[in-house]
Amino acid sequence: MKESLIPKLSENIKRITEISANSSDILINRFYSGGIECALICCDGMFSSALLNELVTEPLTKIEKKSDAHSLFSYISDNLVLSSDRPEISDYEQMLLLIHSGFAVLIADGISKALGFGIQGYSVRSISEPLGEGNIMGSHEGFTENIRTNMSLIRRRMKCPELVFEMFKKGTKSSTDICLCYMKDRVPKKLLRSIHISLDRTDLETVLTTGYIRPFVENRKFEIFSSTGTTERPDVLCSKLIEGRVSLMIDGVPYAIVIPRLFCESFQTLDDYSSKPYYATFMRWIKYGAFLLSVLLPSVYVAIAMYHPELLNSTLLMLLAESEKNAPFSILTETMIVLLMYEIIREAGIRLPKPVGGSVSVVSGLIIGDSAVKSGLVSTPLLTITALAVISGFVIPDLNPQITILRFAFLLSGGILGLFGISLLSSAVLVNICSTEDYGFPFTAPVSPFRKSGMSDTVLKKSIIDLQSRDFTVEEYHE
Amino acid sequence: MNKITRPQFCSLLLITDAFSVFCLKGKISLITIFGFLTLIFIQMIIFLLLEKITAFPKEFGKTPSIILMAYLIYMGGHLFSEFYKALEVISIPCISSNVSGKLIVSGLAALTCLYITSTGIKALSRAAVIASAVGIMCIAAAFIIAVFSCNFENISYAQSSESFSGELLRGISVSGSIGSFIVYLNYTRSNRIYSTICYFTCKAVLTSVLLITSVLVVGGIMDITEFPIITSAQLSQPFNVQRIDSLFLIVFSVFGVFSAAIQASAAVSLSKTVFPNYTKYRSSIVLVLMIAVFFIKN
Repeated sequence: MKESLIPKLSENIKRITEISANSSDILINRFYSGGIECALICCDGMFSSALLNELVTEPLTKIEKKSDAHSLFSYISDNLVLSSDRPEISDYEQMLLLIHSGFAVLIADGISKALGFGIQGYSVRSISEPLGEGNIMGSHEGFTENIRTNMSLIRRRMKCPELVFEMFKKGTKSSTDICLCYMKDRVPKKLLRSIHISLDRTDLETVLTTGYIRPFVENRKFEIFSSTGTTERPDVLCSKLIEGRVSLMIDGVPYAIVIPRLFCESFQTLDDYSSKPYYATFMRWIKYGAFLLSVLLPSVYVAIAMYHPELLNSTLLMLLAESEKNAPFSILTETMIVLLMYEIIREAGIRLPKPVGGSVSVVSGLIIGDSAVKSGLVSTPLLTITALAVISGFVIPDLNPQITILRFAFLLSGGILGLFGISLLSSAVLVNICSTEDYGFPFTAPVSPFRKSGMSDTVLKKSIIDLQSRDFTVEEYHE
Repeated sequence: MNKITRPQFCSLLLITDAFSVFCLKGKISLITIFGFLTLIFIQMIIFLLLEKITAFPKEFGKTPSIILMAYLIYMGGHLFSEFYKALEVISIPCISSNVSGKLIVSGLAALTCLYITSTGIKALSRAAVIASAVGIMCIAAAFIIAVFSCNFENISYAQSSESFSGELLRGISVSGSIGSFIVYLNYTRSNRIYSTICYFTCKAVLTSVLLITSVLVVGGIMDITEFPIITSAQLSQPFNVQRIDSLFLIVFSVFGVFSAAIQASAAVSLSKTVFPNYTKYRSSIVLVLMIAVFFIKN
């Protein structure tokens, strides 16, 4: 049960101090306004001092004498516009939540309610270029950690009343702002209802990344690929919203969750829509090929070299035999070592501070790579194959975790059972991908289940005139 | 109820048919092709008549479900057995051709099959479309290579040991998908008559392509060939020093695993009618029964 405010200033202040355990960031300023003893409570670092002085403190101290606290509060409510966001507060829980969110709260002696003034002014990172989703021709703005800024980035691109932002809080301790965003005329109603039900199931103490929310809006069975996507680009998010998808933005996270996500979307970039259709189609097929290369190339190489040399022509076979002649390990072990080394180096590059990260690439690329080949520990064709597979994976950064794991799994199956092992694992992975779906939207659409209309932005990338006339929404794929 | 589209329906069944043809033993000639095609035509007419006159049941009763389930389990075991026998001529690394090695390979295929079955008909039918598309592309490539590099005199060399009626009866051995056809037809969301015609037409084309390729490639050595389709893949050489039998191994194993899973999924779906209160481990039990059939047959 919520604890109501008391009509005595000193007891209210005492209670607030008690609840917040005398936390040093809670600032309480006592003063007189209209002849009534008041206090203005704020959280240090969460509000703008300039706004507080200019919009709240100064007008409040200039109020003429009032008979009691009630008339003072009604005067403030009716005659002063101290801020656009002015909630009335009746309990401690709401009061502390607002204080911790950057509001200034006014309490007075003789009244059991308080007034909040939205004067948030904490420091935030400014809008910058997204690091993970680079593009050439599109906008260079990315989401920031501030949910309000992110909302404005979307609203600036979609100035229509159909765009809806639904704000709510999640996390019993963090009270994180979460925004459900959709186009009310495009979104499938059933999808929206189901997402609301899924979100009601969440019982989290805190929400710090998208990973805290995504499992609640995804299928619970084992799926290799995620049936929800993320983006750090407002323009990409707008394109998803216009297709009837739903987005979840979390305060403090510069990524938005997109529901549902399709497998083919991992191969689409905003630049595809700026380029000529023939070039965009070509690039898309390059990406499909790169995905297959990054997953299968090392395993197929190992399988062919170890068990199916008849697939190679004699020149290639001789070249391979020559290079592997002096290698101390089997091709499988060699490939495993090289791939593991790459994963270690990659992780080191990400976790280390940026200046040191550069030296990691020098040490790994020049010293380890060069000396490993020269010493005969690793053969040159193998290193080339591994590098090609790894670079191919960079083409689809979205799928990097899945590619990494699949690459190792296929390598083991190919190394132990040859092409037979690769085919068995391919069957299982294919079925797993096909069983992935979210709220009835198959991950493999529009390829399987086949939708001819979807081919214009999957197998091909037709011109924007054709795509525009399609009037596509994701509901077309619902099963 | 899971509903499947017409391409999904056809893909599910064609995978089983293609795999049965891959594992076909004995001589093949033009008479074999005519015999098989006639049988497919007869089957199509029978099912169309059944559909038109008796309005084929949309829901099966308990007894027909038990009979059909038993047939599907038998067919699943039979497909495992065919897979096991074909391993004689397909080289799989690390596993020698002794019994334990072949059993390990079959066991791995059964495990994959169990996983596929456990995901349900929807996922299986979606995956079947992609698998069959890739497989059919490979078969088409093999066919084109065979046509360009074959000796057309092979057609006259290839002599069947059976008469036309004998080949007609032999065709039943590659009609293993009839049981699953009856089950999956109830899952189709499109017109059942169109689906039936579409499936049997595709089956006729696929069977003809596979058999013609085989006759063209191995017609001259048909007498000493045990598995003509597999041998034709082994003998096809797209380039001077390259062989494609290892690539055929991929299509063979993917189709093998899928075809057994297709029978198992159909049996699992029927088990819901036969044992409505028992919901756990359906896929595992069906697979265990199939493996039991496999051991009985071998």
